[in-house]
Amino acid sequence: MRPTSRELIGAIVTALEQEVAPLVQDKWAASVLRSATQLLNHLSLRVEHEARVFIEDNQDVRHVLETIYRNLTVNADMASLRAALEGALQTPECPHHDVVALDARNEAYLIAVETLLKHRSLVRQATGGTSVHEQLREYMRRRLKREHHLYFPVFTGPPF
Amino acid sequence: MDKQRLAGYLTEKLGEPVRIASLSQAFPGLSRETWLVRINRGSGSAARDDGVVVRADPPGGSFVPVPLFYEWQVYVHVARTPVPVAKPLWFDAAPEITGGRPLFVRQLVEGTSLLPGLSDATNEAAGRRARIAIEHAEKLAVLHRIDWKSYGFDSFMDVPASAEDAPRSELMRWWHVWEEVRTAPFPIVTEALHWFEENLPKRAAHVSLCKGQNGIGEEIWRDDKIVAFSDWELANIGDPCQDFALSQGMLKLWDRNKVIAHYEQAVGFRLPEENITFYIVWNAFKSMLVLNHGLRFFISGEYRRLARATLGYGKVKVYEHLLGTILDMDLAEAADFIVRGQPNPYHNKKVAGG
Repeated sequence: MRPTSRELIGAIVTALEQEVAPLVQDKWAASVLRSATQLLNHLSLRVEHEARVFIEDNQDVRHVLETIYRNLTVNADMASLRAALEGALQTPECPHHDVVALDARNEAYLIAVETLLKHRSLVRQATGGTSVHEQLREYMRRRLKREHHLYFPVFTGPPF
Repeated sequence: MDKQRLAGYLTEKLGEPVRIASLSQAFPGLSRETWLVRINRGSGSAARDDGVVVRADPPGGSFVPVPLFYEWQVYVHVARTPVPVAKPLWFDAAPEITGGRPLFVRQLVEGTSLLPGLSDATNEAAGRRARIAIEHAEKLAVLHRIDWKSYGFDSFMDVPASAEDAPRSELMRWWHVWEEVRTAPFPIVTEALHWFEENLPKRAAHVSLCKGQNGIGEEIWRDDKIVAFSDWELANIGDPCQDFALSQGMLKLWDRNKVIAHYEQAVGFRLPEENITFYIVWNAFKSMLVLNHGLRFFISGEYRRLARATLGYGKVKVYEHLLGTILDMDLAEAADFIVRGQPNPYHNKKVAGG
């Protein structure tokens, strides 16, 4: 559909920056305008890429968590950790257009990643080495790279 | 803030007629609202000009996850010491004037929080930068030498068990706060916290009363002297090296080694370089925590100021990426990386202080 969401938001930002900002003398109002244009610049990227980033990230982290889950020893010490992973992995599939559901799913996976990182010693004992930690670190590097363009350089400018 | 209602409130609290001559809010006032109030008080021949500052929580709450009453207590205790600070007047837990949001009132100190022209490329400005760096170091030395126990700061502040315990105590305190206040899971930050744990300084330079955020943009300056330390919400008992790391770039104003040597001479103990380096990186985490805490009230709908989103969401993502990048670095590389990623926001702006 033309204009695209990105084109529309871009036009709003341009109008605010070129036609409204020069007329705003009040520092509080000018500050609101800077914040608004920064958020709009982010939104113009987010509307186009958010779903794809979630889908890719969910596939990636799910695969990592499944691999780790398979290698976790089944014993009493690991019961709560296994349960946390099971809970995350049982998060229902969701349609690709449902960004809210994709986000909720992503959050459930991230909580599981965090749980593993917090219990790193236990995980190391249960899996007999540091590979789980390395897998999680590798995933986090990929995640940072995957979402980098949504925040850089948009949020490196004056935020208010 | 309504002028007339404020006049009524101040009249009641000060016990004499108060007329508001001027009322302005300190900009940008992101953490808390700070109102500069010039008044005329009293009647007839006893009438005189005066000034107060009203500091209030914004709707929902502050960026910094520390109650306003804590900062009030800091003011009350610091006012008993040789450290320059505005005279605290009263704390009000739920006044009508702010719709029930807590506030405290302190005396207005004449001066500015910023120093226009300081970054100019002139010999005069260069000399001024040197004088200001030394002034700041000397005043911090006064603060860091205070016998905090005899002044009762330990009655409301956490106290590390020893100099060896101080860095870990700081780490664990804010780690727990982070887990309480963050708005989402942040596994990269969890990993960064483990990185901080592995890179902790062996011991604090000393166990001192520390200011928290300090330097230009924070204190009240007059004639290039600090006439009042201001904004005490992050004050704590801990490693004084953290104050140089949180000094808004004061160590970059002039010759860093000379400033530190001057401070060490004044304070009577050494500042290990690795401690300052650690706290420079640590500051990235602490800033992120504070900003993300501020986002809670945006999400809840209690305070929809847009800067809460640009900072609490956008800047927090930037910090998350910075922290994710340092995971593969040693401490010195990480500090260099963080410093390059954070230009000082204050050194060349003009904003009224108070």
